[in-house]
Order: sequence, then C-alpha cells, then structure tokens
Amino acid sequence: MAAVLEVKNLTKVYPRKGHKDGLTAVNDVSFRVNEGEIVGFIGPNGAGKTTTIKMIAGLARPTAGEVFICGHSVTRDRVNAMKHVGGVIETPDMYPDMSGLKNLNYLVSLHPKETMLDPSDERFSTVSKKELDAQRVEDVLKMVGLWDRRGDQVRKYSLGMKQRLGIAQALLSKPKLLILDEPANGLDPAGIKYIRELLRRLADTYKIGMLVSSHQLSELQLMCDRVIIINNGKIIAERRMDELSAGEYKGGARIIIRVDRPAEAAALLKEKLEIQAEVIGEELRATTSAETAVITKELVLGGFNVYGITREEIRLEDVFIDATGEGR
Amino acid sequence: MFGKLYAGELKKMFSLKTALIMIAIFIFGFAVITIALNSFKDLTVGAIETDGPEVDISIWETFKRNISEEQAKAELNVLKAQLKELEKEKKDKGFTYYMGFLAGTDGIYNCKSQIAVYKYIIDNGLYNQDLYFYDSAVFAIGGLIDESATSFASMMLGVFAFLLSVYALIIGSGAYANEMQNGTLKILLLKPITRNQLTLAKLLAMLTIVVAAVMAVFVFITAFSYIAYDDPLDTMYYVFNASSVFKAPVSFPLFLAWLDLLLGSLAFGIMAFFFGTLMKKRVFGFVFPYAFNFAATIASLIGIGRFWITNTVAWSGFFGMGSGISTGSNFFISMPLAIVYFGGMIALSFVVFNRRDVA
Repeated sequence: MAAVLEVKNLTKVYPRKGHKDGLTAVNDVSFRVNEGEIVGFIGPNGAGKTTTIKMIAGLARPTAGEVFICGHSVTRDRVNAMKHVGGVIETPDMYPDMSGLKNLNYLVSLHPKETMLDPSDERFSTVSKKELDAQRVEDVLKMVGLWDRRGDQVRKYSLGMKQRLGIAQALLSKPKLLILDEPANGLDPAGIKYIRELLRRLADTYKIGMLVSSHQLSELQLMCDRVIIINNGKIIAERRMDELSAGEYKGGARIIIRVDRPAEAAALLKEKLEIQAEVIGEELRATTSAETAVITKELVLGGFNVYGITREEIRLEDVFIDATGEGR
Repeated sequence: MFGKLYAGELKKMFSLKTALIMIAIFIFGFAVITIALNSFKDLTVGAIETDGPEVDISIWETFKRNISEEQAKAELNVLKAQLKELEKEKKDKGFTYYMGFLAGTDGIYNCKSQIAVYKYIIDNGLYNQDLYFYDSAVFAIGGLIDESATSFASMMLGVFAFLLSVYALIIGSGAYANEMQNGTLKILLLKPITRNQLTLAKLLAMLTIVVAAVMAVFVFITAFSYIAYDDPLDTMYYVFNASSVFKAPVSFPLFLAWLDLLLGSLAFGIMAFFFGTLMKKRVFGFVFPYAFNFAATIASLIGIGRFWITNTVAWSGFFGMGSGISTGSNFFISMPLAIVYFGGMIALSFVVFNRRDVA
C-alpha cells in the first residue's frame, strides 16, 4: 500500500527562558499512514500530539526532520504537498458571519481546477472551474448531511454541525490524507457515532488515509485500523486494532476461566502450563498464548468443572494506560 | 489561483456594514460642516460690517505679491542676512537648535522659501504685477473663510482624513489578526498556497479597499466643491522644497490634498496591517499607529520630527511657503525615509508571518 503520509524524525524544540536547550515537545517521531487507513494518534495531554499534527499540516516549523505528503515535502514543496490534504485542527473554525455554503464556496475557490477533475478527463477543457466547484461543494455538503442547512450562518450551527462542516471543508480537496484533531470533541453519542461512521465510510470508499487524534479511546477503537501512542514527545507504542479485537496482546490473549475451586485450578495451571493466573472472585484471569482447548483439557483432567473459557477483547484504554504508565 | 485568493481576501475584508456606517458618518459630518461654515460666515461678515469698514477676508490677498525691482532686491538682501543668522545659530546650538522650535515652524525652511520667491521674481523680471504665491499653512484654514472651490475641497479633504485613517485602521488591523483570533487561519494554511501568497493577497486587498475609499471621498468632495464654488484665479506660483518655483493651475493644491489623504491613509493601513500581524491581536493594529501619530508631536519638540515615521509621508507640506513640515526637514529626507519605513514594514510582515508557528 502506498503511504500518503510519511513523518521522518520529526523534532520540535520550543525556546524557553532560562533553559539552554529549550523545551522538546516532539522528539524524533517517525511513522506513516497508508491510503485507506485510519490511524489513531493518542497520548496524554501535553504529549506532543497537537504539535506533531501542526508540523504535519505546516502550521508549525519543525526544528528537525521532515514530513512528506504523497511524496512531497511539506516544508520544501508546500503547494504540491497540500494539494490533496484536508484537515480540522483543534477546533472546526469557520467564518461565523458567512453561511455554510458561502464558507465552502470561498474555500473551494482556493483549490486548483485539477484537484476537482483529472486533467486527462475529456470534460476538463469544456467544464468551467465554477461548475466543478459548485458540484464539489454540493457533494461534500451532502456527504456530511448539511445540504439542507447550507444557507444558515455558521454562528447559528450547533457544535455537531460545525464539526461536520469542518469535515466537509476538509473534503473539498478530494483529499488523499485527512488530518483530524479531536473530530468528535464535545459531541453527543449520536453525533460521535455519525462522525465515526462517516469517516470509516470515507476511508473505505475513497481510500483516504486519516490521522485522527482523540481522547475518546473507545471510539478510536471502533474506527481505527491502527493506533500510535505518543508520550513526552516520543512514540511509545503502536498497535493494530485487529490484534486487539482478537484479544492478542503482549504475545498472548487475555482469557477468563470460570471454574469451580478457582484457587486450586490456578495452582494446577501454573504447574502444568506455566500460566500465571489471577483469582478474581469465582473467575480466573490470565494472559497467555496457550490454546483454549489445551487449557480446558488440563482442567478437566485435573477434575475441575469448567463452566466457560472466554477470550477477552483488549481495550485500547488498557493498552494506553499500560503504555503511558498513567493511572498507576 | 492568486486572483481567487485576492478576490476572497477583498470579500472578507470589506464589510458592507462598516462601509455604510462610515458613509453615514461622512455624509452627516459633511452636511454639518458645510451648513455650520455658511452660518458662521454670515455671522462674521455681519459683525465686521456693523463695527466699521468691511474687511477683505479672502485668503487670496495673503498670497499676493506686487512689488517693484528695488523692493524685491532689498527684501532678498534682508532675507539672505536673516538666513545667515539662522544658520549660524543652528551651527552654534547644534542638535538643540531644533528643540527651540515647536512642531511645524522651521525658520530656515521658511526663510529659504521666501528667498526662492524673491529670486524667482527678480530672475523673471515679474515686477509691479499681481503674483499669487501658494502658502500651504494659510490655505489649510482658507476653506473656513473663503468660498473658493479648491480651498473648500482641500479643507474638507483634510477634515475627513481622520475618518479615512480610522477606516484604514479597521481594514488593515483585521487582515491577519482576525483570522488568528477566530482560528480560520488554520484552514487557510492547509490550502495549497504559500504563506507569501496569502500575505500578498491580504496586503493588496487592504490597499485596494483603502485606495477605493480615498478615491470615493475625493471624488465626492471635489465634485461638490466645484459645483458649489468657483476659483478666483487661473494659476498660482508654487515653491517646492524651499528651493524651486513653478507655475501651475490654481487647483494644484487639490492634488496635494489628495496626495496627503492617500499617503496618510495608506500609512495608517500599512502600520495597522504590520502591528496587527506582528502582535496577533487586532487592538494593537489600532493602538500603535495612533500612538505613533501622537508621538510625532513629541518627536518634533525634541528635534527628531523630520525622521518620525508619521511625518515622513506629509509630502504636501513641501509645496508652498509657510508649510507645516517638521523642523529641519527636506523632501529628499522624507521621501526615502518613508519608503524605508513603510517598505520595511511590508517586508517585515512577510518575514514575520513566514516564520511564525500558528497556534
């Protein structure tokens, strides 16, 4: 798969009074986002998420390292790099006195004609930029479900509508890469679900690569293909979501065994299979690579009544807390 | 591509509401001043009539020179002696010489202007005839007492220069600061444009709106003045930079008033643009230009008035005698300084914004 975003050794040092070396907000961060892939970008507050995203979007200058979007360097070839990028950074700000439609009409005019239609297309010379722009604005407004409210002033929009308009604005360029900073911030559960499903559909249908930062880990888990965890300016972990949903984590799966006499069962498992199981009430919990069938066989042979063995899905929250060391 | 960017900036910067408020203030102010001047004139003339013989209050009389050859030569010698004395005083006092003069009265400049006038009369043998030499200081208040098209128009343009400077501040200060404050700059910077293109588009849009506003005010005032009044003369003599004299139509001061208005408004617009961008907040785009403007008086008092930023664009002062330019000034100091100051601010706006991390 082709990479739409490549971040190479990105570093940002903010000068600070009284400190010779300054404050390192982002320290040697490298990763990539492939087409059609949604990558979650998570970390505690102040971990360097937003600074990284701002450097990717070209809002902040990297102290060192480079960002490539579709192969073009953001710092050296900005115009080409930004041709197929859309983003909502921090807050979905728009011109509040203009209607949603007028906002988009203005913003779409800043994109060149070849963004809207491939120059090799036979209609390219006959159709005007204006028609293409109008069509694109209509398309994106319909995609996010704001077409009926296009005439309203943005200041009258609810937060959810503003978020959707922000995404619509990001889609104007027919992006290959979407950068979304907290896209579901402040939304109600229905709004969050709407955005999540919209983004997943866009990634699957148009093969858009997305970098999504969020604090809502359960939402990210439902939406992302992969997550990158950043802390203190460094990438500390990277996980595939399908591994987590299969319960695979740290070279094993988390299993829950419901059995009679759990304490004795735990001793047996340790002796026979070298599994460190924890007794919690009537249940045993353990992380292991051993097959469920093998565990069941040992317990039954040992004379235990096994009521059930389930593989527990790993929650992103656990991975996050484990990786960042928070909550301890 | 750039055309679209520029058109977008024009649309964003130009607010119909602000423009209508400005137009309303302008029309109201214009009407009040015109009516008040007419009533005031009747009162004054009436008062003078009852007290004694009628006094000629035309400004044109103060411009008039009608002298013989002997008078001219005598005057020239007196002025030359006066200039020598002033220059000696300047040499003795050094820098503090300039501090002796309040803003706008430069003995040496005025003396040189007079010398240029008498030299011109002698060189061209213009004796014993009515000659009119333009005096900018008298002309500035001429519109108050004199019903002539050019003086009325010049005065009105001077009065509304303040309104236009406010408008230039509103437009210039918001150019970047507004987008930084409401967060829309983040969206613009994600578009396939360079920061220099954006700064250039904003700057050009700001200049376009300010120039358009200046032209609208100029055309309105000029049309009104020339419909309502006439000029009593055809041509006048003008001294430039206290050295050369030339003959031009009597409406030439209108061009000077226009130049003043244009340069003043552009100066305010550029300062507002620069400080708004530099400080990221619109309020600084208002505060700094006015602070500079007020500080100009202090700068003049301590002798650095001629180098002061807001004084360097007062080019119209270099035309005519008795001008209100800063002490020690000279057109060929002011013009390059103005280019350095305002060109520098524009260049710095580009550099500052190009290097900035947008929060």
